[in-house]
Amino acid sequence: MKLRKSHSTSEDAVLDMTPMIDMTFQLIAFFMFTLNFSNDLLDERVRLPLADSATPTTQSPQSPIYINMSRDGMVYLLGGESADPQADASTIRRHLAVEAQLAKVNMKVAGVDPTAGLWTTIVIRADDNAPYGSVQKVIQIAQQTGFTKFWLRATKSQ
Amino acid sequence: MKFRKTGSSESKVSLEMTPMIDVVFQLLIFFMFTFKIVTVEGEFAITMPAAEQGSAAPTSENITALPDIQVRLSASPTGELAGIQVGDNQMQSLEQLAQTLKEIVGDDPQLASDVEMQIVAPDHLKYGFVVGTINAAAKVRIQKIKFNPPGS
Repeated sequence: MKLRKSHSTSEDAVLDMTPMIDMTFQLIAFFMFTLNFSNDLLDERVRLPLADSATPTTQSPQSPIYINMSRDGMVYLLGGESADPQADASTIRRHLAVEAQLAKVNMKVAGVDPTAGLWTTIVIRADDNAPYGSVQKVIQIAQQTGFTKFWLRATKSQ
Repeated sequence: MKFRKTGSSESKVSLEMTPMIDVVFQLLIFFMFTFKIVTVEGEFAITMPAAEQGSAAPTSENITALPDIQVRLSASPTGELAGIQVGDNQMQSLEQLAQTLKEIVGDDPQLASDVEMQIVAPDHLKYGFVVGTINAAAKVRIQKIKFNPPGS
Protein backbone atom coordinates (compact mmCIF):
# COMPACT_ATOMS: atom_id res chain seq x y z
CA MET A 1 0.00 0.00 0.00
CA LYS A 2 2.69 2.36 0.95
CA LEU A 3 4.77 1.41 -2.00
CA ARG A 4 1.99 2.11 -4.43
CA LYS A 5 1.19 5.46 -2.94
CA SER A 6 4.72 6.65 -3.08
CA HIS A 7 4.97 5.41 -6.61
CA SER A 8 1.92 7.35 -7.78
CA THR A 9 2.99 10.55 -6.15
CA SER A 10 6.47 10.40 -7.43
CA GLU A 11 5.44 9.93 -11.06
CA ASP A 12 1.93 10.91 -12.06
CA ALA A 13 0.77 8.52 -14.76
CA VAL A 14 -0.52 10.64 -17.59
CA LEU A 15 -2.21 8.76 -20.36
CA ASP A 16 -1.85 10.60 -23.61
CA MET A 17 -5.34 10.59 -25.07
CA THR A 18 -4.61 12.42 -28.30
CA PRO A 19 -3.63 9.50 -30.58
CA MET A 20 -6.52 7.40 -29.35
CA ILE A 21 -9.05 10.13 -29.95
CA ASP A 22 -7.56 10.83 -33.35
CA MET A 23 -7.92 7.24 -34.32
CA THR A 24 -11.42 6.96 -32.93
CA PHE A 25 -12.53 10.00 -34.89
CA GLN A 26 -11.05 8.48 -38.00
CA LEU A 27 -13.04 5.33 -37.43
CA ILE A 28 -16.23 7.26 -36.79
CA ALA A 29 -15.73 9.28 -39.95
CA PHE A 30 -15.17 6.08 -41.92
CA PHE A 31 -18.27 4.35 -40.61
CA MET A 32 -20.32 7.51 -41.06
CA PHE A 33 -19.43 7.87 -44.70
CA THR A 34 -19.94 4.22 -45.50
CA LEU A 35 -23.35 4.24 -43.88
CA ASN A 36 -26.05 4.38 -46.46
CA PHE A 37 -29.75 4.25 -45.97
CA SER A 38 -30.55 3.94 -49.65
CA ASN A 39 -30.52 0.17 -49.80
CA ASP A 40 -33.35 -0.43 -47.39
CA LEU A 41 -35.51 -1.95 -50.09
CA LEU A 42 -32.97 -4.56 -50.99
CA ASP A 43 -33.61 -7.94 -49.53
CA GLU A 44 -30.59 -9.79 -48.29
CA ARG A 45 -32.29 -13.14 -48.62
CA VAL A 46 -31.98 -12.79 -52.37
CA ARG A 47 -28.79 -14.10 -53.91
CA LEU A 48 -28.52 -12.36 -57.25
CA PRO A 49 -27.36 -14.14 -60.39
CA LEU A 50 -23.86 -13.50 -61.64
CA ALA A 51 -23.33 -11.53 -64.82
CA ASP A 52 -20.04 -9.87 -65.65
CA SER A 53 -21.49 -7.34 -68.08
CA ALA A 54 -24.16 -6.09 -65.71
CA THR A 55 -22.91 -2.59 -65.20
CA PRO A 56 -24.13 -0.40 -62.40
CA THR A 57 -25.59 2.67 -64.02
CA THR A 58 -24.68 5.96 -62.50
CA GLN A 59 -28.13 7.46 -62.60
CA SER A 60 -30.66 6.19 -60.13
CA PRO A 61 -33.86 4.74 -61.56
CA GLN A 62 -36.88 6.97 -61.91
CA SER A 63 -39.19 6.39 -58.93
CA PRO A 64 -38.29 2.73 -58.72
CA ILE A 65 -40.35 -0.14 -57.42
CA TYR A 66 -38.23 -2.95 -56.09
CA ILE A 67 -39.47 -6.49 -56.53
CA ASN A 68 -37.49 -9.04 -54.56
CA MET A 69 -37.99 -12.66 -55.45
CA SER A 70 -36.77 -15.55 -53.35
CA ARG A 71 -35.28 -18.78 -54.61
CA ASP A 72 -38.63 -20.54 -54.49
CA GLY A 73 -40.29 -17.88 -56.61
CA MET A 74 -42.08 -15.96 -53.88
CA VAL A 75 -42.30 -12.21 -54.23
CA TYR A 76 -41.67 -10.28 -51.05
CA LEU A 77 -44.10 -7.43 -50.72
CA LEU A 78 -44.03 -4.52 -48.35
CA GLY A 79 -45.20 -5.31 -44.86
CA GLY A 80 -43.56 -8.71 -44.68
CA GLU A 81 -46.14 -10.29 -46.94
CA SER A 82 -45.11 -12.64 -49.67
CA ALA A 83 -47.03 -13.92 -52.64
CA ASP A 84 -46.46 -16.53 -55.29
CA PRO A 85 -46.95 -14.93 -58.71
CA GLN A 86 -47.98 -18.25 -60.24
CA ALA A 87 -50.63 -19.13 -57.68
CA ASP A 88 -51.61 -15.75 -56.35
CA ALA A 89 -51.26 -13.25 -59.18
CA SER A 90 -54.09 -11.06 -57.94
CA THR A 91 -52.23 -9.91 -54.82
CA ILE A 92 -49.27 -8.71 -56.85
CA ARG A 93 -51.56 -7.23 -59.47
CA ARG A 94 -53.40 -5.28 -56.78
CA HIS A 95 -50.14 -3.92 -55.35
CA LEU A 96 -48.81 -2.92 -58.76
CA ALA A 97 -52.12 -1.38 -59.82
CA VAL A 98 -51.99 0.92 -56.81
CA GLU A 99 -48.43 1.89 -57.73
CA ALA A 100 -49.42 2.47 -61.35
CA GLN A 101 -52.29 4.70 -60.28
CA LEU A 102 -49.96 6.66 -58.06
CA ALA A 103 -47.40 7.03 -60.85
CA LYS A 104 -50.11 8.31 -63.22
CA VAL A 105 -51.17 10.96 -60.73
CA ASN A 106 -47.56 11.97 -60.13
CA MET A 107 -46.89 12.22 -63.85
CA LYS A 108 -49.98 14.36 -64.39
CA VAL A 109 -48.87 16.67 -61.59
CA ALA A 110 -45.42 16.90 -63.15
CA GLY A 111 -46.95 17.60 -66.55
CA VAL A 112 -45.84 14.41 -68.26
CA ASP A 113 -48.24 12.50 -70.46
CA PRO A 114 -48.82 9.12 -68.79
CA THR A 115 -50.27 7.52 -71.92
CA ALA A 116 -46.80 7.29 -73.42
CA GLY A 117 -45.81 4.87 -70.66
CA LEU A 118 -45.26 5.16 -66.96
CA TRP A 119 -41.95 6.61 -65.84
CA THR A 120 -41.62 4.10 -63.04
CA THR A 121 -38.81 1.58 -63.28
CA ILE A 122 -39.52 -1.89 -61.98
CA VAL A 123 -36.30 -3.17 -60.47
CA ILE A 124 -36.43 -6.94 -60.37
CA ARG A 125 -34.11 -8.56 -57.90
CA ALA A 126 -34.73 -12.22 -58.40
CA ASP A 127 -32.68 -14.99 -56.85
CA ASP A 128 -30.28 -16.97 -58.97
CA ASN A 129 -32.34 -20.11 -58.41
CA ALA A 130 -35.78 -18.57 -58.82
CA PRO A 131 -37.85 -20.29 -61.50
CA TYR A 132 -37.87 -18.31 -64.72
CA GLY A 133 -41.64 -18.73 -65.07
CA SER A 134 -42.25 -16.73 -61.90
CA VAL A 135 -40.06 -13.88 -63.11
CA GLN A 136 -41.88 -13.91 -66.43
CA LYS A 137 -45.21 -13.86 -64.64
CA VAL A 138 -44.24 -10.83 -62.56
CA ILE A 139 -43.06 -9.02 -65.68
CA GLN A 140 -46.29 -9.88 -67.43
CA ILE A 141 -48.39 -8.61 -64.54
CA ALA A 142 -46.35 -5.41 -64.46
CA GLN A 143 -46.76 -4.96 -68.21
CA GLN A 144 -50.50 -5.44 -67.92
CA THR A 145 -50.70 -2.80 -65.20
CA GLY A 146 -48.89 -0.35 -67.47
CA PHE A 147 -45.19 -0.53 -66.62
CA THR A 148 -42.69 -0.71 -69.44
CA LYS A 149 -39.27 -0.08 -67.90
CA PHE A 150 -37.55 -2.96 -66.23
CA TRP A 151 -34.21 -3.40 -64.62
CA LEU A 152 -32.95 -6.89 -64.02
CA ARG A 153 -30.46 -6.84 -61.22
CA ALA A 154 -27.35 -9.01 -61.16
CA THR A 155 -23.98 -8.92 -59.46
CA LYS A 156 -20.58 -8.82 -61.04
CA SER A 157 -19.07 -11.04 -58.40
CA GLN A 158 -20.11 -12.69 -55.18
CA MET B 1 4.25 37.69 -22.88
CA LYS B 2 4.48 38.05 -19.20
CA PHE B 3 0.74 38.30 -18.80
CA ARG B 4 0.11 35.06 -20.61
CA LYS B 5 2.64 33.19 -18.64
CA THR B 6 1.19 34.15 -15.33
CA GLY B 7 -2.32 33.31 -16.54
CA SER B 8 -1.44 29.79 -17.53
CA SER B 9 0.41 29.03 -14.39
CA GLU B 10 -2.21 30.24 -11.96
CA SER B 11 -5.11 28.08 -13.28
CA LYS B 12 -4.28 25.13 -15.47
CA VAL B 13 -7.10 24.42 -17.92
CA SER B 14 -7.88 20.75 -17.63
CA LEU B 15 -10.27 19.45 -20.24
CA GLU B 16 -12.50 16.72 -18.89
CA MET B 17 -12.02 13.94 -21.41
CA THR B 18 -14.20 11.23 -19.93
CA PRO B 19 -17.65 12.30 -21.20
CA MET B 20 -16.29 13.04 -24.65
CA ILE B 21 -14.67 9.66 -24.94
CA ASP B 22 -17.86 8.02 -23.71
CA VAL B 23 -19.88 9.71 -26.41
CA VAL B 24 -17.29 9.01 -29.06
CA PHE B 25 -17.31 5.32 -28.23
CA GLN B 26 -21.09 5.26 -28.31
CA LEU B 27 -21.01 6.77 -31.78
CA LEU B 28 -18.32 4.40 -32.89
CA ILE B 29 -20.29 1.40 -31.73
CA PHE B 30 -23.46 2.67 -33.38
CA PHE B 31 -21.79 3.14 -36.74
CA MET B 32 -19.99 -0.17 -36.45
CA PHE B 33 -23.18 -2.09 -35.93
CA THR B 34 -25.03 -0.34 -38.71
CA PHE B 35 -22.12 -0.99 -41.05
CA LYS B 36 -23.03 -3.21 -43.93
CA ILE B 37 -20.84 -4.17 -46.82
CA VAL B 38 -22.87 -3.45 -49.91
CA THR B 39 -22.01 -5.49 -52.94
CA VAL B 40 -22.18 -3.52 -56.12
CA GLU B 41 -25.22 -4.48 -58.11
CA GLY B 42 -25.39 -4.06 -61.82
CA GLU B 43 -28.44 -4.19 -63.95
CA PHE B 44 -29.77 -4.83 -67.40
CA ALA B 45 -32.20 -2.12 -68.37
CA ILE B 46 -34.86 -3.53 -70.64
CA THR B 47 -37.85 -1.74 -72.06
CA MET B 48 -40.70 -4.15 -72.51
CA PRO B 49 -44.01 -2.57 -73.42
CA ALA B 50 -47.04 -4.79 -73.17
CA ALA B 51 -47.66 -6.61 -76.41
CA GLU B 52 -50.60 -5.13 -78.24
CA GLN B 53 -53.47 -7.40 -78.92
CA GLY B 54 -53.38 -9.02 -82.32
CA SER B 55 -49.77 -8.23 -83.05
CA ALA B 56 -48.47 -11.54 -81.78
CA ALA B 57 -48.47 -13.29 -85.12
CA PRO B 58 -46.12 -11.61 -87.56
CA THR B 59 -47.68 -10.84 -90.88
CA SER B 60 -45.97 -9.85 -94.08
CA GLU B 61 -46.65 -6.17 -93.32
CA ASN B 62 -45.09 -5.94 -89.89
CA ILE B 63 -42.10 -8.17 -90.41
CA THR B 64 -39.07 -6.03 -89.91
CA ALA B 65 -36.03 -6.12 -92.12
CA LEU B 66 -34.01 -7.84 -89.47
CA PRO B 67 -35.09 -11.25 -88.32
CA ASP B 68 -35.29 -11.89 -84.60
CA ILE B 69 -32.62 -13.94 -83.03
CA GLN B 70 -34.41 -16.61 -81.13
CA VAL B 71 -32.54 -18.26 -78.32
CA ARG B 72 -34.23 -21.36 -77.02
CA LEU B 73 -33.13 -22.67 -73.67
CA SER B 74 -34.07 -26.07 -72.37
CA ALA B 75 -33.89 -27.28 -68.82
CA SER B 76 -33.32 -30.49 -66.95
CA PRO B 77 -36.08 -31.51 -64.49
CA THR B 78 -34.16 -29.85 -61.67
CA GLY B 79 -34.05 -26.54 -63.52
CA GLU B 80 -30.44 -26.70 -64.66
CA LEU B 81 -29.57 -25.57 -68.15
CA ALA B 82 -29.74 -28.53 -70.52
CA GLY B 83 -29.35 -26.94 -73.91
CA ILE B 84 -29.08 -23.71 -75.86
CA GLN B 85 -30.31 -23.36 -79.37
CA VAL B 86 -29.96 -20.39 -81.68
CA GLY B 87 -32.14 -20.98 -84.69
CA ASP B 88 -31.22 -24.54 -85.57
CA ASN B 89 -27.76 -24.53 -84.06
CA GLN B 90 -27.04 -26.18 -80.77
CA MET B 91 -24.72 -24.33 -78.43
CA GLN B 92 -22.55 -26.08 -75.89
CA SER B 93 -22.16 -23.23 -73.46
CA LEU B 94 -23.11 -19.65 -72.77
CA GLU B 95 -19.62 -18.65 -73.95
CA GLN B 96 -20.31 -20.25 -77.30
CA LEU B 97 -23.64 -18.43 -77.42
CA ALA B 98 -21.83 -15.13 -76.85
CA GLN B 99 -19.43 -16.06 -79.63
CA THR B 100 -22.29 -16.91 -82.01
CA LEU B 101 -24.09 -13.68 -81.22
CA LYS B 102 -20.89 -11.82 -81.92
CA GLU B 103 -20.68 -13.49 -85.31
CA ILE B 104 -24.28 -12.57 -86.07
CA VAL B 105 -24.06 -8.97 -85.00
CA GLY B 106 -20.45 -8.33 -85.84
CA ASP B 107 -18.93 -5.04 -84.83
CA ASP B 108 -21.79 -2.93 -86.09
CA PRO B 109 -23.29 -1.04 -83.16
CA GLN B 110 -26.22 0.06 -85.31
CA LEU B 111 -27.10 -3.53 -86.13
CA ALA B 112 -26.69 -4.54 -82.51
CA SER B 113 -29.12 -1.90 -81.34
CA ASP B 114 -31.67 -2.77 -84.03
CA VAL B 115 -31.65 -6.51 -83.74
CA GLU B 116 -34.20 -8.06 -81.46
CA MET B 117 -33.48 -11.14 -79.44
CA GLN B 118 -36.16 -13.37 -78.05
CA ILE B 119 -35.51 -15.74 -75.21
CA VAL B 120 -37.69 -18.81 -75.04
CA ALA B 121 -37.25 -20.90 -71.95
CA PRO B 122 -39.29 -23.32 -69.88
CA ASP B 123 -40.86 -22.09 -66.68
CA HIS B 124 -38.83 -24.22 -64.30
CA LEU B 125 -35.45 -23.12 -65.63
CA LYS B 126 -33.42 -21.32 -63.02
CA TYR B 127 -33.48 -17.57 -63.54
CA GLY B 128 -29.69 -17.34 -63.32
CA PHE B 129 -29.32 -19.02 -66.72
CA VAL B 130 -31.69 -16.53 -68.31
CA VAL B 131 -29.58 -13.73 -66.88
CA GLY B 132 -26.56 -15.54 -68.28
CA THR B 133 -28.17 -15.43 -71.71
CA ILE B 134 -28.97 -11.73 -71.35
CA ASN B 135 -25.38 -11.27 -70.23
CA ALA B 136 -24.16 -12.90 -73.44
CA ALA B 137 -26.40 -10.56 -75.44
CA ALA B 138 -25.25 -7.54 -73.47
CA LYS B 139 -21.65 -8.32 -74.35
CA VAL B 140 -22.40 -7.64 -78.02
CA ARG B 141 -24.65 -4.73 -77.07
CA ILE B 142 -27.94 -6.24 -78.12
CA GLN B 143 -30.47 -4.04 -76.43
CA LYS B 144 -33.85 -5.32 -77.48
CA ILE B 145 -34.62 -8.44 -75.53
CA LYS B 146 -37.99 -10.10 -75.38
CA PHE B 147 -39.25 -12.93 -73.24
CA ASN B 148 -41.74 -15.48 -74.36
CA PRO B 149 -45.09 -15.19 -72.59
CA PRO B 150 -45.24 -17.39 -69.49
CA GLY B 151 -46.50 -20.91 -69.89
CA SER B 152 -45.60 -21.14 -73.56
